[in-house]
Amino acid sequence: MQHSDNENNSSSIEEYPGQVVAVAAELFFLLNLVFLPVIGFIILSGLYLRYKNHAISLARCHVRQAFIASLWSWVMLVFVNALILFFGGYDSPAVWVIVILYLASIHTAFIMFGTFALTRAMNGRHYHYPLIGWKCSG
Amino acid sequence: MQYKSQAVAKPYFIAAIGLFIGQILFGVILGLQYVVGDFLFPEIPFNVARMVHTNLLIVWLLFGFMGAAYYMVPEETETELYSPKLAIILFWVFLVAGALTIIGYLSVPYATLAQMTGNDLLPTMGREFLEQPTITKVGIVIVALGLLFNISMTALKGRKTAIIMVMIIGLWGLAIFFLFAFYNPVNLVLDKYFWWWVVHLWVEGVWELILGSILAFVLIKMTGVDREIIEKWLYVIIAMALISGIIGTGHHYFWIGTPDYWQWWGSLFSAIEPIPFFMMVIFAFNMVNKRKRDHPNKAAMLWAIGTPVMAFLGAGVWGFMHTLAPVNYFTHGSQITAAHGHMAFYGAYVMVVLAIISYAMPILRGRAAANSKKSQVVEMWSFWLMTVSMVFITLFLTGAGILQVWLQRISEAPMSFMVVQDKIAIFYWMREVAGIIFLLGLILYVISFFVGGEEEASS
Repeated sequence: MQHSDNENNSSSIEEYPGQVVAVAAELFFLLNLVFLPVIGFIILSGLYLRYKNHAISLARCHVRQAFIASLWSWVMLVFVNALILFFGGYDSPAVWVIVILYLASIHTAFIMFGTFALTRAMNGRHYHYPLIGWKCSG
Repeated sequence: MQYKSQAVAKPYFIAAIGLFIGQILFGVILGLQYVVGDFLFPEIPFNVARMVHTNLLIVWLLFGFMGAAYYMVPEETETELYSPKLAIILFWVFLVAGALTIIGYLSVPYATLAQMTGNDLLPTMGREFLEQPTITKVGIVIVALGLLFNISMTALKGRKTAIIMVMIIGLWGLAIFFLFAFYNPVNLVLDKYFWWWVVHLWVEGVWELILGSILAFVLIKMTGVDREIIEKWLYVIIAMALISGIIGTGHHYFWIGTPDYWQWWGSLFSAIEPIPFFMMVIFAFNMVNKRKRDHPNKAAMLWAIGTPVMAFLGAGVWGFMHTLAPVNYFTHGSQITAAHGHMAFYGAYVMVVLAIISYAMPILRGRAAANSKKSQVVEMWSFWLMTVSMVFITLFLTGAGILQVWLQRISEAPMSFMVVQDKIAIFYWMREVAGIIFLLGLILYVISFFVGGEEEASS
């Protein structure tokens, strides 16, 4: 019952079916990267579990895309930490080179693609993260 | 071209591109002087080359903004320019004053130039970016006032749109804050404090209004999206730019002798400075996704959507990287600042001026809407060459900066400035290579104006 109420409420402000869920997914993907790490991911995971098989393909596409991209961002974070440990631990000068270059290139790339995905969601369009995204069909 | 008087924008755009070439040539010379210290010495010493590089940047961007204003105002206000003749006179005044200033920098020692131009009467020279002789500064004020009179009078008699109001407020702000260039107190803290009112409140304040209005204009024309939607975005973006940017000036007050509270104010407000740039990215891509038409000028569209992306990266991300006081304590004045400066200026202002030139020039040259496909392909190649090489310039300078900060300021046995410069020379070499590729991109950009120009039908 709750589920259908939410859908009725969201459909009244939606320009395209599934838009609210799609936008929310991309927004929490970005929030996880910027202002609300972990919390953003937990909410995104909730959206993913609830809407991953949703009937509307726009919502389904964006929750899946945002979730997998988010997982990749965590993988990259683990990889960077492994790299720091490999190059002499957290007290070595290499830490700053790795951390800053990671933030400037990889982390920022996630933010940029998340922004593109958000604008696509806002306009009722599918988005496929390059290299890491899952196919939207199915 | 809808209004005859829009034609006055053309010489402004041509002068802008000419001076842009000069700026990049001096940039390449400077880059080489970082690693070959006596290159072109004593003909062009490092301090002179740097002054020419930065001053040309400011002057050509001003030419670009003025050209944009003269092109946009008639179309937005739906009336001819108040005085096209005044616009042309001011163009020549500005060009001659600018050229004489650069010749002055290159031909006589700076102290002699100061003496020759009567700096003793009203001393304003000798400060970074405001090195221009006092008489040139007076010329800039006259040109700016003439421009403001011209476009304000046009706006008063015509339609008043949000875009044109934002642009006029931005240009008024530009002129008003430049007046602080004439205030040169003996007290160094006060001097620096108000110096930033010109430098910071230009690039992280009123120039963002000009940027927003140009981008909004180009996007309206190219996407056909309703004006109301674009104007709503514009309001929010400029509000955020001013909310964050004005008190964000405090990030320059950390270490110049101002009270401690600026470390909090500066850190907090400048931490939100990336937000308007982030919103600009969403705005631009949203408009592209909503577009109602496929404009034939693909090159202009590329510049228009590239602008917010690169501005967000350069001004937003690279700015945030070193804007918090505890971080800035170590990174202040290092190559990290240079990395941020390069990408921010390119992304926010160079690209938006090239976007309006790319959009307006074919029309000013009598074409229906766009250059030939062949010409656009060359222009798009120049976009990618310049943009990718600027990304590499920024990354190499960032690498140089991180190492510099570590060796000079953090390590247990800090090294002296010049020793560290030797240690990071490899980054400077790589930056120089990227700079040369940027120059090639710019040459290609100029060539694009002469490629297959006759293929497109006249309007």
